[in-house]
Amino acid sequence: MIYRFIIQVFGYAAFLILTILVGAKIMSVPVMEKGFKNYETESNLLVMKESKQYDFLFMGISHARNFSRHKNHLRLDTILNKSFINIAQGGGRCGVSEQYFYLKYLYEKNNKINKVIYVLSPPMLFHTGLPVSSKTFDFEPFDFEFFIDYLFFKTKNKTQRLYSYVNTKYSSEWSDYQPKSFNKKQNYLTKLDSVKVTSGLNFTYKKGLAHYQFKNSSEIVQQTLQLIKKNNSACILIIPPALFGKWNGHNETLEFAKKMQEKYGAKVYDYSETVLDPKYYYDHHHLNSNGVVYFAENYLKPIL
Amino acid sequence: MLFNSIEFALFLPIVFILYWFAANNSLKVQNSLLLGVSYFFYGWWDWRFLSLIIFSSFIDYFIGVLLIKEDRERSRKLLLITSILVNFGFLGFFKYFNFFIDSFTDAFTFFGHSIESSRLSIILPVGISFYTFQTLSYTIDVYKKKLKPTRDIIAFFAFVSFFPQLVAGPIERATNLLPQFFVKRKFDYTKSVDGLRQMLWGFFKKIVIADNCAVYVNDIFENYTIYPSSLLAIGAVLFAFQIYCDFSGYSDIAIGTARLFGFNLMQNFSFPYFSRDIAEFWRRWHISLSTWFRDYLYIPLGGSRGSVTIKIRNVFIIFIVSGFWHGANLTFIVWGLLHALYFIPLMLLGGNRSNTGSIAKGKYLPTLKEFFQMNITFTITVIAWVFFRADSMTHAIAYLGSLFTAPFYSDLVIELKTIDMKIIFIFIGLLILTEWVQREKQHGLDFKGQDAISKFTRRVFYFILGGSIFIFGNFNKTEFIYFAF
Repeated sequence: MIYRFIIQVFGYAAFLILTILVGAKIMSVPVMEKGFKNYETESNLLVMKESKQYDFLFMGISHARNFSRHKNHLRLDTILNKSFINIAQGGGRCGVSEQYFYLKYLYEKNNKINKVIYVLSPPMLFHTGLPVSSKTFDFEPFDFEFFIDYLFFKTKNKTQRLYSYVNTKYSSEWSDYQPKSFNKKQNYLTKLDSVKVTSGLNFTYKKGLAHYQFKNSSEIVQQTLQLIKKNNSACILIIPPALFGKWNGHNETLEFAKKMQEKYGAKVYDYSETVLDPKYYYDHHHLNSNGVVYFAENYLKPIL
Repeated sequence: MLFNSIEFALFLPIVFILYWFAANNSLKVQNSLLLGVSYFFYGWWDWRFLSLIIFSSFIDYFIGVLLIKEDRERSRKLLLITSILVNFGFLGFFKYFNFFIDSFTDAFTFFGHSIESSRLSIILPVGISFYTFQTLSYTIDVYKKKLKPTRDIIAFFAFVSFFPQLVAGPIERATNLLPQFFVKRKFDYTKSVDGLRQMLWGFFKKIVIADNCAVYVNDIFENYTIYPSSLLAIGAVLFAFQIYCDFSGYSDIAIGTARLFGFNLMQNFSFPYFSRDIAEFWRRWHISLSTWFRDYLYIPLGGSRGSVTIKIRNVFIIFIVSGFWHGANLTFIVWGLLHALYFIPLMLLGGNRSNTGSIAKGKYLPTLKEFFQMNITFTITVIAWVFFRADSMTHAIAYLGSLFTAPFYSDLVIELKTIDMKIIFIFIGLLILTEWVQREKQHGLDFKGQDAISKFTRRVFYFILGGSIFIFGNFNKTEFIYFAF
């Protein structure tokens, strides 16, 4: 009787889970058919193709994602005249581990990338919340292969993230998910507000600089560089500009980037203090559309 | 370890397989395994506090052994007092120390004397109110010679720390649970299936209803000054369902889990919101605690015998103590006091035992009178719940004040509608409907001997519940409210 009981319980649980996964897939199909562009969504899977050649790729957090948001992607297309994909994830949803996973998945889809631009924002390496965010895949359509691959990927808070990945496919927000074509981000700052900068930095680094987190993150970035090298892509590490110049943790980040230069031949560019005019920012560390254009013409074009 | 966690989802099947396959041959091995896994289950939260359970178990075990040998009444009483002092000493220190310090300080300040007081940073050990009462029931029953003391130390320690009900009950009586540790358990298919059903119902109540209600309840109670009275009423009603589904959900999971291991725990909730008066409510709400207080406090005080003054005194004592058991805050005491005030008129009019059976027994619907009584009882319990939920007395009074004085409607109602509250009401509707149909049974999914509902329909229903838990469940590792008690 006990065997019958165990088989029934496991059979029932497996059937339930399978049905939920199939349901998530079915819920994803109409959204996938909407044909999103990289600048219309925060999702990576909605824009990833197979066997495609890209001139370059952006990865990182919001500072990298910003190169695609607000139609900036199209502006960069025109300025740089190169094909690119942006797999960076903003909104505090993604740490370096999941960035590694996205890149690995992209390579596994037989895509070729000439150059990978890894935007090394210091908070990405020091922040303790990013590696455990459960919302990383909330904007992604359900994909069995992606799900299974991630199931066997070693990372933090995997169960919660996978749960949220599947669960969000049943939400009304998902079924209403539409391409978002944000207008040009025009608003700008007039001056640096040091009070806001201090409170922003305190908010980002609630318990000061988490050096243990930096150590963990830098190890994963190093693995990412190995992956990039293995797939014959060139790697460029850039520290993005901020109106206040250097973030807390800047020196450690730059020192680490230089080590990577020596070890993997990555090119390193510290752009932290290159754009100090407030008219190019919509907040103290995100470039507005004019800022993106300025930065692309003056700093990205020469290195690509 | 929380029941609604991935750790428990792994822990339970492993323990189940070990128990029925590796430990199946001997009672001692079964009990030892249960003891080991129970300590592991508790230690997952904080292993340091295991020492408290072990110490408490030691004390009551040895006092039990000494009580067998001791015939002199004076010495026996001394042993009983030792057990009570040790157990209540721990409980008092960990749970009430700061409350008493604050109360003394406030009292001195009130009379114009300012005194320096220092609070201690004390962690409340999870489940201390539950296992303290459980182990005390053993000593008291042994003292009263209702129960033979055991010399089987493993069985006794396993009884005190039995993991399904260790941290939030039901508070088992030694006379019911302890003897089950002396008989080798055999796997029972029907019992296990019923246990799983009860667990499923518990998870549904906890994860889908209680944890989703909590989101709105927290918001409404926090921002009650800006919300209209209609929303404040909804907030109070949602809290009534939150606390019920949270606590009875835990009990269902605990009882169901125990059944998987061959144990029968007592029913802790018997559809209390279908009660027709407050006395019936208390016969159906947190049964293990109310019967504990009845047997070990109310009856020794004289119960409902004696003069009217004695009767009223006893009712006040039992309800105030019950409120105090829930926490070191005046709000809980007032909650208990309110229930005493609801109960006393009923008792004085001799109506406290007029509704002992199930409502609308054998019928589909209640009579108009029963329906009216049920709603009145529910409304007065909801008012009392406001005190239970509020952070302070000021908060509770202001909330209730706004409930009757704030405008009935404002645009904020529309704003709140954009947050999908409808789904919660659908699930509450499903809960009420299911529990109404099942109100004469042990739990919401108790289908024993119920052939009217086909196997297929039942399986579809389980499937819907399982799917709802996954899709609509709130998995933010919310602790059960009663862990705090």
